Amino acid sequence: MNIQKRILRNGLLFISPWIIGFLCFTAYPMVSSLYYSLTEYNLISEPNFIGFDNYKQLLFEDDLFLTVLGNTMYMIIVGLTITTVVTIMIAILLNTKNIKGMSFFRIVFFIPTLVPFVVLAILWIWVLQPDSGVVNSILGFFGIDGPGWFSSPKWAKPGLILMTIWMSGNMILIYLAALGDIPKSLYEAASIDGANVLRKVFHITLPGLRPAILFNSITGMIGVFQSFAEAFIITDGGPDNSTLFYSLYLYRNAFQYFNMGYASAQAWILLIIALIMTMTFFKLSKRWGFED
Amino acid sequence: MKKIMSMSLISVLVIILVLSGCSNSNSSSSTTSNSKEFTYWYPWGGDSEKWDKERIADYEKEEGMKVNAVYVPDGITNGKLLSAISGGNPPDLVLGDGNDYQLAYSLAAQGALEPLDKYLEKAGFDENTVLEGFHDVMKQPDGKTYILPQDSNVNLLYYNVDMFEAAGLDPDNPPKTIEELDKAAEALTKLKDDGSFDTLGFIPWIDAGEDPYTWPWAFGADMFDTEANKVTLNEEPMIESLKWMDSYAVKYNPEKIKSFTSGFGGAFSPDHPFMTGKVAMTVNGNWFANALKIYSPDTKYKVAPIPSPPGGRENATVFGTNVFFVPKGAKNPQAAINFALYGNQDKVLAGNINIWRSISIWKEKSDAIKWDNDSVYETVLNVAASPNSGHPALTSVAGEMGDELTSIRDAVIYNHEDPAKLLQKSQDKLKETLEKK
Repeated sequence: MNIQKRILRNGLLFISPWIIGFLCFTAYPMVSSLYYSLTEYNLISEPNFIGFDNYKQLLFEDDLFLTVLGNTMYMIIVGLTITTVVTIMIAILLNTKNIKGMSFFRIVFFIPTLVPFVVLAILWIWVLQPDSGVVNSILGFFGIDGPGWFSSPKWAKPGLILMTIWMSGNMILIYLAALGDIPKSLYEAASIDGANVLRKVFHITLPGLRPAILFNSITGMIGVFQSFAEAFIITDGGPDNSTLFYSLYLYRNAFQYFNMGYASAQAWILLIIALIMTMTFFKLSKRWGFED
Repeated sequence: MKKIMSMSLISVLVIILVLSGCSNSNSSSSTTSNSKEFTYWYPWGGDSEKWDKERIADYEKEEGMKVNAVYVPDGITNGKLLSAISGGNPPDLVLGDGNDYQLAYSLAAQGALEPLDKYLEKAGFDENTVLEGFHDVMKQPDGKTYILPQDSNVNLLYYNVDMFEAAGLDPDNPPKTIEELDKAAEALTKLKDDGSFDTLGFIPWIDAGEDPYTWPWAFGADMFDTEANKVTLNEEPMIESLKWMDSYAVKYNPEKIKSFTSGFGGAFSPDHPFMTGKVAMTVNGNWFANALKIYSPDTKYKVAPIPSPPGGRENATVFGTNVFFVPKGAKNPQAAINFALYGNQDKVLAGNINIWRSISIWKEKSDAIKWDNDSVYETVLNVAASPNSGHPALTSVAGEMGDELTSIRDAVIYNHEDPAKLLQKSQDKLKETLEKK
């Protein structure tokens, strides 16, 4: 055996725990779910091959499919946009160099991400409690009659968005790091040219943040597609199916109705949608000059 | 070098094989090799877990058995049980809590459970000693028994005596019909000057009323025809029940109601709207009486059977039955059933019944139950023995049906949509799903 082959073999051996893990716990389940998506399968009896019926039913007959897709898209388009704007604003504020104790505030914004998800969800049930929760009490102080939040089909999703913003310390951290990478000389040059703060933000900061925005948007989007726990714990999809998201509906089909075949088909459609959206993001970002 | 690598690879493989071998032999020995042993999945933590462990310890001492008790919360609903069955290593006995009997029934309908008749017979069980109301959930249309109830809970109308008197209503004459309920609700509702709620007389969809089956059942809807294996959602009583709920939604904004009644802590906290006096009447389980005793001892209340319209189910309740069942492929079903029949005796359950006012499944009452002269328990027993009480939606599509009904109710109360149209659509969808199962 020559030395190159030996190196290759040793390399493979060293990486084998990952390869075995990947094959057993990712590749195999994925391939089998592709097969099951073409069957009727309830875990107990043998899978019954039905071709593309599951896909046909999901895409053309299932009314809830559009509802769950709509809810999920709302969270991506409205939710993610708001979250991005707010987190960038917070990051810019936290990046101010001249204020003492800024690291304290940075920690404050990061702390919520350390709290376990389930605890967060239950905490927010309290925070957004319509009658006596913190948010509505504060709104009431200003004479505003706060909405029903998780009790209202119109306000349940905005409630979840508020919660998402509160726990997006990770995004802020990434924006902070990206802000650090923007050369100071650009700001100095702008100052000399007489640019005000807003101009600097729009012409230096935001363009400098493009790669970070792209990264956060894509991971955020995938996060929304996977989002499950909040809706499961807080609202269980209600009221009036307003928080029934894709993953929650998939979970119901798989583990409450035991329609594994149908749930597998849903999972594959989800993968395709996420893939298309990610590719579109990349395409658009190139067109907008985000490529670095 | 080469040798070392291949040796290490081989040894890793050997270790993996040995380990997996061990785990197999371990798990099978716990279930097969010894008929004095069986595995039991129970669903609860907290006080109920403590109580169950005492029951198990007593049984082990009395019978010389070993019970491998495993805490599996939501064992049926999260797919753990099905994975265990399809993996060929299921527990011998599973206890599903009060909300899970429909799923257990649906598993039986799909062939995931073991018929119990021969084990029950061997253990000397006579089904005629069980209250009529439980026979429906025990058997499948094939005539075989798949489910053994442990004990059960009923729902009642709780009403606030002081508020009744203040509104000029007679607390000894609670509403019996829906019409009377609506009138009482109207009399008990008080608005503040700015139009917001001060107190609400009654809201159909809070507490046990939130369960999608409570009101349709009271109105007389069947939802599923077990004999004909047919979904029958679009029926007059079902439509009536939804229209009736909508009448409350039209009168009071449902979002405002939900905001007003949503407390911080649910039924086991002093913040429950019935305890704080925000709501004068509510439908809830027998256990709520004990919650009231703990968290709101000053609330003066009485109970009555759930009101029903003419032609509906009088004196009736949907049961919340805790059920034992044996998954297909269990290694020691006889031991499992012996334990289940030990565990659902009055004397074993008395500790629970004497706190929560739950009901035993047996026709004959034992002295171990100490609720003589308790007016709440009298109503509980009365409702439990009623031939109108039962277990709705005993079908393999029970899970789907519950979610469908909840979405229909939400569409009706939030958007005032036409229930008949939605019900027909759901009925067609469920029919299709049913055919596939």
